[in-house]
Amino acid sequence: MRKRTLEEARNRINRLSEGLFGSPEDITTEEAETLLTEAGVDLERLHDRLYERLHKEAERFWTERKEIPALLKDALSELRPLSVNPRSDAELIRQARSNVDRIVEKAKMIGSLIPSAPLHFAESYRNKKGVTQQDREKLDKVRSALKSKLESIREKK
Amino acid sequence: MANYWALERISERGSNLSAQLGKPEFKKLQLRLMAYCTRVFLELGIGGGDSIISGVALSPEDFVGNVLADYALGKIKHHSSKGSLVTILGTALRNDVIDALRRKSHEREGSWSASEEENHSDGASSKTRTGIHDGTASDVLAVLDEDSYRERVRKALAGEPDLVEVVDAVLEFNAMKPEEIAEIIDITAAEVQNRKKRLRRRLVTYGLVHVDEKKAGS
Repeated sequence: MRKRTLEEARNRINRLSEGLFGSPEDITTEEAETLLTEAGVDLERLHDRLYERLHKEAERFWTERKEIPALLKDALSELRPLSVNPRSDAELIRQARSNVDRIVEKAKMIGSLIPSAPLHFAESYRNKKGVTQQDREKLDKVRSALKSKLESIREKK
Repeated sequence: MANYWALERISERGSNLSAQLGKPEFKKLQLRLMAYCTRVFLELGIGGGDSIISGVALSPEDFVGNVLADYALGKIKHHSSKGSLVTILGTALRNDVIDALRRKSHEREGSWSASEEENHSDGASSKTRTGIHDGTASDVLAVLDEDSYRERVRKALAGEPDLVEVVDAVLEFNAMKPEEIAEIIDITAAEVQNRKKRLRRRLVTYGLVHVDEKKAGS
């Protein structure tokens, strides 16, 4: 059998790969986010490093006093890290919104940290010396308030 | 306060407008290409997302950064008649990875000293170039060898009967389109897409290479 050239071998593997795993278009943003997060990639840092990479390209244009290509300008404006000082009110709003979204996302994750098994509290204060009956009652109240709060979060999960 | 809402409306309108105008969204592109490039690395036996092609010292993140920079600088042009933007950039990315492997093997051949050649012919398994240990180095044609590719895929997916069905349809019956695969294994095209999604997940989560290594080591 005739040996394949490099180009032929490459095209053949590309075809098999697409047949098996699909084309780049088949990977949605959501799927990519899941795959990368599971692989331990910090997505924010990934975007920040791309910003730095493209910023270096833009610097060459600034040094030579040339106009920056429109796509590069768009990319920099979209990727601009939240830690960088905003240049306009619109950018300030975008940064604020992203920060709030991130906090809300984290808050939503609290529910998933609560185990599904019945909740048991370690009531070590009961054996503590020097705790009055009144103190114990107060601590019991705190414990039951906390328990019902956690259970209501778990129900919403 | 009124100004705040006015600005927010303008900002929202701006973002809707860019979506309507079909402006590329770089963050999304970066994530999709990064997932794709990690997959290419794993498929070709180079390693996962944190691996680099030694000799050229490029990781999936570098390849994605380079392709997006080329696109932003106008070196890669997108015409909708040639397919979607992510497909064009994905193809460029894949070709760049293979070119880097080819470049690496050429450079290695060119940089071996006589004594290194001697060591190599004596059966030394590790090849070194400019001090970098090259444990994953293999000739680019070996990486693209269809038989090894088939073997790697088969080994990695051996325990998943419904995924093996898709693998058989592609490798044995040369069915490439979802509709063709669907016809052979008698499922819907949508189910084929679901299974391909699982194949991608399995590939990225476990990695063909790692599965190979585990089996070899066990």
